[in-house]
Amino acid sequence: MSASKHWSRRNFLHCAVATAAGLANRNAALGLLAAAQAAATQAASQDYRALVCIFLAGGNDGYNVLIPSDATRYQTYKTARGNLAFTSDQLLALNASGSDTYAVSTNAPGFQSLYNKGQLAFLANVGTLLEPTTKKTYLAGSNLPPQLYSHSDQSDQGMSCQLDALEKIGWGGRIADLLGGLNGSSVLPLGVSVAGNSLFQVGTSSLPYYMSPSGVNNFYVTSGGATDPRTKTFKKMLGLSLTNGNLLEQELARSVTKSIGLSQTLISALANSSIGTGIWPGSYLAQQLQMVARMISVRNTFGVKRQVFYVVQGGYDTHDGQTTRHNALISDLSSAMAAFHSTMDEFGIGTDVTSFTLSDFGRTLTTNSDGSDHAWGNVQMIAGGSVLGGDVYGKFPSQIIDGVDDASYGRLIPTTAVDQYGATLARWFGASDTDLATIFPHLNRFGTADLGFMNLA
Amino acid sequence: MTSINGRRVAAKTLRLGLLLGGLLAGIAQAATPAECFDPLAAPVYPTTPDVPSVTPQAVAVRFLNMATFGAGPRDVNHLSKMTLQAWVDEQLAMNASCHLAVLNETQNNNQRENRMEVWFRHAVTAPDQLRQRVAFALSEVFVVSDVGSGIATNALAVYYDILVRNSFGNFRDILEQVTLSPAMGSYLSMLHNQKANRKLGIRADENYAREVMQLFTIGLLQLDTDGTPLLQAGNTIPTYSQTDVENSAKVLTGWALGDAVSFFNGIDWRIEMKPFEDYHDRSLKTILNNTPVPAQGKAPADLKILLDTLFNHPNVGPFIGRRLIQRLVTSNPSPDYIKRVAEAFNDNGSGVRGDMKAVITAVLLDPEALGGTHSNPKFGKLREPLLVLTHLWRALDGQAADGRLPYYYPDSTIGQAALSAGSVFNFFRPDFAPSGPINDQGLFAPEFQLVNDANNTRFYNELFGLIQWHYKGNPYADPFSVLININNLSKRAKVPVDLVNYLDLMFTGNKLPADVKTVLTAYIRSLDYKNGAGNGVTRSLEALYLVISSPHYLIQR
Repeated sequence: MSASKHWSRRNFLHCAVATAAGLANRNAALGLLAAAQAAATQAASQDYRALVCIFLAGGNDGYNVLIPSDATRYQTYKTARGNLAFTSDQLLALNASGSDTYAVSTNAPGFQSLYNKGQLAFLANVGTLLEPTTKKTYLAGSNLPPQLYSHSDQSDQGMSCQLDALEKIGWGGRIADLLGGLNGSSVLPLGVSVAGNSLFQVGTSSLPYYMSPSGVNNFYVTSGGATDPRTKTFKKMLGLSLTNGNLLEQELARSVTKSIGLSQTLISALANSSIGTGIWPGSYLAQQLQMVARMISVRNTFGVKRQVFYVVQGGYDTHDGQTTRHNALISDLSSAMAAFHSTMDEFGIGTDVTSFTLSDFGRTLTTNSDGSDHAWGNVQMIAGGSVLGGDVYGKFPSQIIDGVDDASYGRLIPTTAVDQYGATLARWFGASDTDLATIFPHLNRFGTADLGFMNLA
Repeated sequence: MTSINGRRVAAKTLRLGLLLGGLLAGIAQAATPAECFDPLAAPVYPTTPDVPSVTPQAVAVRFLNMATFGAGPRDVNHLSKMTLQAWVDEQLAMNASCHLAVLNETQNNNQRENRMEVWFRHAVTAPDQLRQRVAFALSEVFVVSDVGSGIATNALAVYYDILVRNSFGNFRDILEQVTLSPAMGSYLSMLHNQKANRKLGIRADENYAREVMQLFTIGLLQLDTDGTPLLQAGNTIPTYSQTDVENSAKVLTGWALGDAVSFFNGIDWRIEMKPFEDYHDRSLKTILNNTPVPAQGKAPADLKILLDTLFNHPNVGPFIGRRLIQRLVTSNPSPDYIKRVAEAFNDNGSGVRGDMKAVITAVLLDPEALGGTHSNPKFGKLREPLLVLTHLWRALDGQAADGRLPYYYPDSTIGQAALSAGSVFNFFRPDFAPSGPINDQGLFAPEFQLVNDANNTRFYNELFGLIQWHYKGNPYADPFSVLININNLSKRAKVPVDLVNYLDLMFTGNKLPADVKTVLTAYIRSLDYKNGAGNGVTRSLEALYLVISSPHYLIQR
């Protein structure tokens, strides 16, 4: 029996309430070109900046994204990575700035083109750290991040940068706490997640708005309008939960009240949104970034000057089948990021929007026969018109197994802290030195707070 | 040589789904285990004794909301005629309703839609409700998922039945059967995990070794029996080191599919994995708590040492106890409650460790579970989206005209589907807390990880459609979709307060505050009893939706 035969949801939608979202989507499609032009004209020289966090869930194998290609280091790479190594004919060369040369794999032409245009930088060997750590201090077990190599703990730590006092606050959220004032009285929170709940965007006082890549729907129950007796009863009951309910009831009532309050505003705004005129790939990540583009295209409707977006690409826990799975993931990532930034260029705000990757952790250089296991230091990507791209930042590690940077089996000890990575981005976003000390409380334990990959001019 | 090596290395990438995806039609289906009900027979519910009420109805509803997929009139009546203990004992003695046997009766046992329908049919109609409910809870601890894994649908049903059949067995058996199941083998890549080979430049896969410790048995930190972390000089103490993970990974080498003739062939998803000693690491390995796994040991013997070591670790009782309490009863159990459950895990009273019957009884009949907010002011939990749906359908006899429950895409309509979590960390983490007062008070609310603007809209709207459209008597509703029967509501709708009282009883166990009921009753009274939809229909649907969408219902306490 077919699924659709017995499923009358579609009928229901046609017959009954609320096709508002559908209409909004159609309007968006019809108004595409006009809106793109509008977005472009409202663009330049206004004070607007957006950070887009692309979380690569599961632990991206960053050392198979950025590959050393000069003869000596490529040989080391190949030895370390065994059957996970790319052969030299699977590499796309990146413009070289010295004798150390790098490549990406043939899965990532988007990265090659962004990098060679100067719009993409790599940050090598960045990871969660409590303090600067060497192989010697690692082996002594002194002051290491708690629960190294655990998915949940390492992603939380990378998102919080508060490793030894994890208070379930993320650095994206702390940015929103401190810089939210720049957005005046906008009803839209500074943070917008297109990928559900994440620690990254939770602040002390700030919560993001959560939307789906397909847009925002009206609440059917309140679709009769504020004076409808059903709406009034629903809201009265919700109000009683808010005031008289227990802790859990109040939390749910608060969340639903917020969702209802914002849904109509979002629907109206998105009706005039644009995804530009370029061709977008069909991946789920690309759909999320399309929604980010649409939100950015209507930023003036909300009167926002700063936005932090959050999207997720899952599937990176490649313990097995890595070659096939990781290649497909990186292909999607590279093409989605390229499409997104070319749309930002079309909007005329290429220099105002920066995307960057985060992940649970890096992966072992060594192979477990057809995959890699949980590790630590990783390569991250930063893209956009304000990125001093075409360069590799941080210190690219030695990939010699059991060498100076290796904890075991090619688990590389980070030489740059996520705190420094985040601080460089936050400074470009507008955070002051005082702000940075609050957002990244451990920042002063590490060397520079500006890794140099952002154009701060 | 090269080609053989190349094949050896490549073959682990042939994931189970690819191997098994096209199998079903041609292959004889797994025999129905003896303890399963006959899949073709109509469900047989235990006879309700004709005696005066023993347990008040509101108490019965509240208890059934913890111990089943939601209270319904038949269960409430049945339980009201006995003590809670007698009901639990009756359930513990019942045979299992197995999923694969029913899935095999559908036209295609490898179609995901059919797995979903069979899951809902069990959740809503199976007589062995406690077993089914515990199995679902276990599926959120021993997580296997079809998201991004390519595991065949029928292999997932085989896996789910391991949890169903062993829900009332011993935890050690669950641990072993889960470990050796092809579904888990594929999901956490223990299948085809092989010993280190210097020539090939490979080493053992750490995936299952890590997660079986972190998520299935002992967790990250050493715990007291009451679940609080033990401290050493003021610091928490890790349960295992990276070296323990690496060495356990070696222990877990050498397993292939159960019908394999050579390591990388085999296609049978129904039976346990089997060892190939040539691929097993036979060196001396030191695992957790400095336990030696002697050199020259075979794969099954090594596995036994590892699983015994994990099973006997003092953490398992509080670790698993807390998880089961959170899934069934409350998000923030007191340490004493956890301790009582852990002690039942440690010893069922007859010296047996890991007896699930003792654990489940301890979880459900604990004074804190029964006392609710009277015993612990922090008592309560958010109902999972799936459990709201199953409760709606159990309370109002939801089914399609052919008796099936064809609700195929719960993940896209309500954000949750059985065996379909985003990762081995489940739909939500046990320690999730939404920012704000809950987090500020150091409390947890795992299910809130699914609560956000996008999900709220989707969930509230889906409930709206399922209630306002999918009821028997709606001439426009597809009779082959799941329809609720609102007769028990419409016959009370002439007197609004009766209708509201009935909904309050059947859904919350009389937990709606008086002022909420006053607001709701006034609105229902304002609606015409008679209208084009039929007598009492509009009143029934409006009241039902407003109760179910209320935080006073959605928070179960």
